[in-house]
Amino acid sequence: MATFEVNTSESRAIQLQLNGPDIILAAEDVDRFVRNSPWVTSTYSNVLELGNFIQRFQAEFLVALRQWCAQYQQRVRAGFVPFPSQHLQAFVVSRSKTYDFELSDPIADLEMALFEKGWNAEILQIPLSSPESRRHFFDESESIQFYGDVL
Amino acid sequence: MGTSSEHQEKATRHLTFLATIPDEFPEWLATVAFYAAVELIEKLLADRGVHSKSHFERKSALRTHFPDRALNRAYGDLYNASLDARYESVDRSPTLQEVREVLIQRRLHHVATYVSSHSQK
Repeated sequence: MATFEVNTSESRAIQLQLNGPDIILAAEDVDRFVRNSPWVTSTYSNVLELGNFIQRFQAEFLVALRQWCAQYQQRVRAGFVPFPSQHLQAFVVSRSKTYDFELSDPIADLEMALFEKGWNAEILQIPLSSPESRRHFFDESESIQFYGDVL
Repeated sequence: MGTSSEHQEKATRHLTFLATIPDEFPEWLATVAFYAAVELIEKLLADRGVHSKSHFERKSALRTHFPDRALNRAYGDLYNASLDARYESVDRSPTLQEVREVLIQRRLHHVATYVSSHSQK
């Protein structure tokens, strides 16, 4: 009888490996991210371009998001980048149980700052809620958690 | 894809409808306020011959053609807060006071004023 091994790590958000201020994704996590991100594979079909994107994605995009969250740690609980299907997105989970208007301007400014550096991404905040509620916005198991502990 | 005047007409209709929504439905006030802003931004973009097919395209086009910080802050807040109002439970959605005072009186008003002063037609 055939047996199937369930890879439990694939049912959770990818967690970052930190090396000081640097962010490193494990090789198997990079593979999982690319394999499940249609936007990435359609935008970067060339192996060299893909490699360059992954390097910049870690060193620029994820680092910027993580630093921003650390700056607003009093109001931010966690951050996720869902595996992109059509475009890059990031979700900031606030510490508030309702929409946090104090985060609105900083998030818009972060979005603009990233855009000016060549990262056309949508940054959205969602209140701290249950995993079921968060699923209205993105699938946590198909994402990279760039900030905070497991919720 | 509509013309500038068609977007203005839709925006006016949304604003008329917005004024009729009772206080007991803040999630719909937030939603209609956002869609009024969508039409105003589309009008602004249509004046420059730019059209968008999705919320993401619209935000990108706005940042590209109108990188005004206050305008992007206002539109981004309307978008994100109305998204939460639509998809979160009522107790986690923006309150009536937040919707009326922040989203409508401040954010939507800013978008409308900016569009009015920057429209070409």
